[in-house]
Amino acid sequence: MKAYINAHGIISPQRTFDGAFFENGLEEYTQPQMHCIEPDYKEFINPAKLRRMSRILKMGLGAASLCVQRGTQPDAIVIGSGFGCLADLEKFQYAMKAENEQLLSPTPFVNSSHNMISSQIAIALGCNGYNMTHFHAALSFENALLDTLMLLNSGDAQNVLVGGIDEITEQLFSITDKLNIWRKDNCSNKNLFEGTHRGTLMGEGAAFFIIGTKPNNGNPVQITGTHTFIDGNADIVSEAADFLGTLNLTIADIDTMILGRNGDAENDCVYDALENCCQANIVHYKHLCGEYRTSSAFAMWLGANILQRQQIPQCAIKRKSGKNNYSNILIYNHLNGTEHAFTVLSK
Amino acid sequence: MPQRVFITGFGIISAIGNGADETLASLKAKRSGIGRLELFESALSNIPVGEIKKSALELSELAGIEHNVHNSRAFLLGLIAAKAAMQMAGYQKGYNRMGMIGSTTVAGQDLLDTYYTQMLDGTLVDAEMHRAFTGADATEKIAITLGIKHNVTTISTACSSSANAIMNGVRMIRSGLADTMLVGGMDSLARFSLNGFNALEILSPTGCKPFDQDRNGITPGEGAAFLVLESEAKTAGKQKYGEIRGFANFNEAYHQTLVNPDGVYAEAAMRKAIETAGLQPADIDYLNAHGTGTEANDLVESKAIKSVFGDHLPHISSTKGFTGHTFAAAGAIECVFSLLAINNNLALPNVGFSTPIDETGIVPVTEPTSMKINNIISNSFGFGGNDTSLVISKAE
Repeated sequence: MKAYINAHGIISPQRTFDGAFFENGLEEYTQPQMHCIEPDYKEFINPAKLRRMSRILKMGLGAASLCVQRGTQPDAIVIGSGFGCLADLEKFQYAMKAENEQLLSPTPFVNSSHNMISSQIAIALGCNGYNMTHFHAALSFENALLDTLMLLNSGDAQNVLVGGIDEITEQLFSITDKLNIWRKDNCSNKNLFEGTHRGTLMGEGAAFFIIGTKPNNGNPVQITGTHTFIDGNADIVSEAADFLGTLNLTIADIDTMILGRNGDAENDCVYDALENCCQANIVHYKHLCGEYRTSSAFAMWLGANILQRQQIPQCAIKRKSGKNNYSNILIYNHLNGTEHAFTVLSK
Repeated sequence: MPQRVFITGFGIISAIGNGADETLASLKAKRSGIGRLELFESALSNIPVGEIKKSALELSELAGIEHNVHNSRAFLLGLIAAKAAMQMAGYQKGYNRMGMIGSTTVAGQDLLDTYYTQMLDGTLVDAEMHRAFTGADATEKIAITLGIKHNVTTISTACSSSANAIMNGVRMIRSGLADTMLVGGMDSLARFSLNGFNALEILSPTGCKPFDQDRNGITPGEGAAFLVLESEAKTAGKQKYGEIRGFANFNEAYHQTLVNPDGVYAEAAMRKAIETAGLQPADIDYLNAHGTGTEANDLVESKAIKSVFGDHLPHISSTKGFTGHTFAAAGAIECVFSLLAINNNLALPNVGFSTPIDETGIVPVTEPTSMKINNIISNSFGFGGNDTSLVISKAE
């Protein structure tokens, strides 16, 4: 069984929702928060309903609607989100304390459910099939993707809507900024990888895909496999080789790697061994979308575009090898050197 | 024929006890765990709850670890149940073909409640605490403690979360991605969820009365249950406590909190679970209902049950009168109850019931009833219209 990316809808800090990113190039940010460039949601969401929606739901439903416009109606929905509907959780948590547990509105509580996005998309699309939400930090998207591949493999679905989604909230920024996760020197995302620094830029996004068992276009991109593991002392090269082996591939078959470097020296050294073990083109992406739990969904979108366009956007190239035909891409991302995720895309 | 997946170990902790023996004794004696909230302060302390009367220190001791402020109550409950399941299945630790699926609504909600304001105003700067606010942290710490490295995930689909974790554990094994899966769920009582359900006006002032005409809402509970699922090849020479034979998940696509009054997808979930098990409705001996005790759920679930089973109803009960509604943990807790029912040939009683619902007339089992039990269906329906049914069968 094969799985093809038949549509994507992506809302990110770059102008990706309509593909203008590929003409305009990189959008610059000089603050440590990279917020999404959002489309006019009125084009695909009923304005009366739109007013009542939380921001993360607008992003999710927007990305899902873009997918469906460009692809097929899905028969299952699988979402990955590292923090879920955080803004509503914060709102209810705050109100509970401020009001001493009296006379609370249930709305933020209801909207803080992690599966709110997947169920609201089901309602909007009238999709009664399989509906799942994975929330496992930096593995959320790949776990959702693996779930999707299993659904297609077992014949339980033919077209699955899968997405990775997370939002910036002021409170999340405030707490994590005190933990010294973010750059404090107004570093531009254009210069994220220059010099040796600690800290990175905070991002967000909603990257959704329709994955089907049959390609719906003449230039298909295949998801060959995905795998996650947890290990604070991992040998990434041997883990990558083992995973590729399960797909009957070797590291030498990979012409391009998309790596989750984020400009933080301690974070980035985890990628060195993999980068140095081969001659592949090296692509990075976190200066485009920022660091967030499901950023690897953005990486998958970028990878799909590289395979379809047979071109790497100039602003995403870290190392160019002599390989100018792109057919096998390995995406690798980690969090804290503990959570690791691989995905392979093929032409 | 899809590959068969068996249960070789399970662990449980809830308001009616820690471990299979204590749990079974309470079920047989109709000893409910519902009572007053004692372990934390809340403006809602008059609401009955299914609380586990053990402090964080006592739970840490049961889990065999040092007390640590970064450990959420849900994590401690999960670790106790997961360790017991692993031990029963004969595993000291994980191996490379073992994965894990945990599930929770907001595992770290007790820590959020205590430390969030300090983290926000900067009086507490603690990266580990920030991680512990999320559900993934509970799963991940259990996986690391037990040496499970590959294919670890956390599912959150409200009250059907751990039923989905079990379903997906079976799917992982059938897909050939793992031979053994540790699956389950954990949730603790906290002011966050108490206040949420109170704001929705669905908390029972008296203690829940599933399937009763005068039912008046849910009773929040807490607990955890984990199961070790294994491929048939892996169970050679091992004791098998049951088989997950069928499952189904549908979405009502109706409303975030209201149930579709026609119950069509609750019905569809039961039908498809029975069909995927290769069984007929008549083969189901006992039905462990979602049965939360709300006006809407119990009526709609009753109608759906009648549509599936017609006049030949299996023995039916909701066990939420024992534990309260343990949210994300409910599916796994009730799967363990189902294993106890199968292995002891005992239909479990529905405490809190006295008068059948006028419209449907379903009379649940009210006394522990000895009978031959080969197949059980267990329902878990969650907010967001997430309907999951599992068929649990005797291991043969």
